[in-house]
Amino acid sequence: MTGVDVVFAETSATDRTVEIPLSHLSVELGHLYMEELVDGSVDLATYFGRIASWTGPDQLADLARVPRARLRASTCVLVDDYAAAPLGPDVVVPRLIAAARSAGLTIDYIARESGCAAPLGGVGALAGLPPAASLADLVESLIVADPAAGFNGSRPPPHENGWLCNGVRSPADGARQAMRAPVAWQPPVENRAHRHSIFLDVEIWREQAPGRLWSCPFLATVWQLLRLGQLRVLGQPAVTQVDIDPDDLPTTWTQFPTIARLPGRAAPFAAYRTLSVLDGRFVPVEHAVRMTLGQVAVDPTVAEQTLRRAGREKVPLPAELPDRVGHVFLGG
Amino acid sequence: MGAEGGGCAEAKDATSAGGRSDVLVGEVRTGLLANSRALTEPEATAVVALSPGSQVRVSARPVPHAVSPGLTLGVHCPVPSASGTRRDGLGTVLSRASLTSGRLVQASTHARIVLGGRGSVIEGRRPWAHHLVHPGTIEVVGRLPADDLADGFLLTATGDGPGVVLDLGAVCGRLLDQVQESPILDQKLPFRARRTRFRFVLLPCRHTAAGESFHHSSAGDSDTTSGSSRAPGHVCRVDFVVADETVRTLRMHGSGLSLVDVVGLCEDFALHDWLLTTVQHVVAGSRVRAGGGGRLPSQLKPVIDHLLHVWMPAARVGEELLPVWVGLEQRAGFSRQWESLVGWIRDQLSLSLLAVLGDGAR
Repeated sequence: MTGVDVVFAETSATDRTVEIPLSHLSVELGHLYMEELVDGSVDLATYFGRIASWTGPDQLADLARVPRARLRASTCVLVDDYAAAPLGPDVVVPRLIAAARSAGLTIDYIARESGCAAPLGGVGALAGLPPAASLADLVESLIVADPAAGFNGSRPPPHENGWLCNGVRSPADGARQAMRAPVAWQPPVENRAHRHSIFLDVEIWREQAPGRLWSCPFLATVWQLLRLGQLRVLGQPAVTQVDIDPDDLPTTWTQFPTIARLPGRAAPFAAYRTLSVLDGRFVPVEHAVRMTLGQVAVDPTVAEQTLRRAGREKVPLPAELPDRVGHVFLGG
Repeated sequence: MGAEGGGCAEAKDATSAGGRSDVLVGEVRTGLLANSRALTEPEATAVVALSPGSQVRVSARPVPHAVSPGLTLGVHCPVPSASGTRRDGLGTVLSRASLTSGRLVQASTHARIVLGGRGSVIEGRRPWAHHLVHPGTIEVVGRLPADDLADGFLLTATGDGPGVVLDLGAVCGRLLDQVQESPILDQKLPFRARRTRFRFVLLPCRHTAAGESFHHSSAGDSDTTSGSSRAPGHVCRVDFVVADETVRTLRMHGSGLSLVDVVGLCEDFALHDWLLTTVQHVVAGSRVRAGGGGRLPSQLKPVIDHLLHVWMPAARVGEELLPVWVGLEQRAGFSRQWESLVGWIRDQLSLSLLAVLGDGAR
């Protein structure tokens, strides 16, 4: 022995995972279907007014579990443009900003749902993703399904053809054997049910030319993961925010950034926790989001970095992703 | 054969005191890559880019090495037990595939099995998200001695058919197949070589107090980080068994070790064991046919082309685990055997050169 500590390392041999700025809380100021923006059935000023009464600074600081003086919170809205987008950003964005402002709210970021399903481009190809792969494809590859009792690894995990559930499905009728008496119906079972099952089976995607049609709850899961700052492609942030000028907006959503930052002093887009203030009709969607989030295994380096930073900032943070997601559901 | 290091005294089994204990179990399968030539670094990277968006770790020294990102799989089944005790485990196993020198392929799968002691039965079932926070950990409800689990795991061949017990062999075998079926590979093996299976367990040192474990927790194990520095890890006992032509088992007792490093050691060990086994097999075959007028036995050529330069024992093994290599070298004489085989091959090469020169002079 030489008595000298020799450390040899190659930079390419270690992961390089970029940390991204984090707020304490990402606040989603409602969600509207495109049809409602088109037909004007929702009075936007009243709508944002109801949201504002749940997003006061004291309430947000309390939810973020930090003192009000320290609170970093950013606000965002996700535009539902994936299925159809008869109105472009030049019409929708100014309307949202004005209505929010009339209720005393500032929108910091506006995102488009279609961005979660749009090709990632160059960085995706480098990462071994097919050329047209999207954020949704990336998140689907992170799903580690909750195993049913008896799953020991001897077979490949069941591929559910675009469905994800929280337990064991009721056996299909097709399993009934010929010439035998019909098998009595058996109920589905929720894994880790609390006495009784609440079985949930969620459509993730459907094959529809020219490719996959992603479900709304799954894109909403991608949206939550973006807001929680947990998505990376080859260690780089999967999406970066782009500044936009509200006086010079494109007419189509494809020309609009996936996440746009409006002028102002916005806190970082991603956050330790999220709060979504939504109409009560979104309960099923968000139930599906929580279930799906609970079966997503993000890059352990990212997960560790986030927990370590929260520890340094003395922000209490649950390790489980679904526990970082909060909701306020408004009645009719 | 066994190698005892560190002068650790035999003492009461750590698991008998009713505390929680952890056992690391894993399997490594090693084989020759189904490609006629060595892969370049970009090709090797593409072959093991198995998780979209995640990074492949590549190193060039001392031999090119590319490792896939960790792949997580959920399991909910009984864990192995030599006594046949049925204890259900729930959690995930971690796998990764690696290519060495663009010619050898390995798949490895492991899990840290957390055994509940008396009175520490996990209440109910935690949400699945809890298990995803600690990838590669299986929590077991109910008491099971660590040695019972380790024996059950090492002695039972898995991956060969349906069973009910945790089947790391099947997970590992599927991953190796997946890599070998990569469209980047031409499916032409330069020569025939068998796959080896290398099963390993890491148990707490027998003299550690109950509840102490063989590993140090990472920052991700808790919500906050503690600034305390840890005691250096060490290994107190290693048993390596060549069970049959293709199956090897390694049983280690240690404390304060990084599990990632232990898995890395086992992969490195399995790789060198495969090299030794394969070259030994080829040499044994050539010896039978040798003596044909000083001509180089034809089956030696691919070995010289593809394997001899890959021997780099302990190149990626951390400081704490180096004594394991040293101990095994002393007892099992890996490098001595390798050098003797390589020496014989070189002698054959020299003899064949002399024969060629002699032919030319005539």
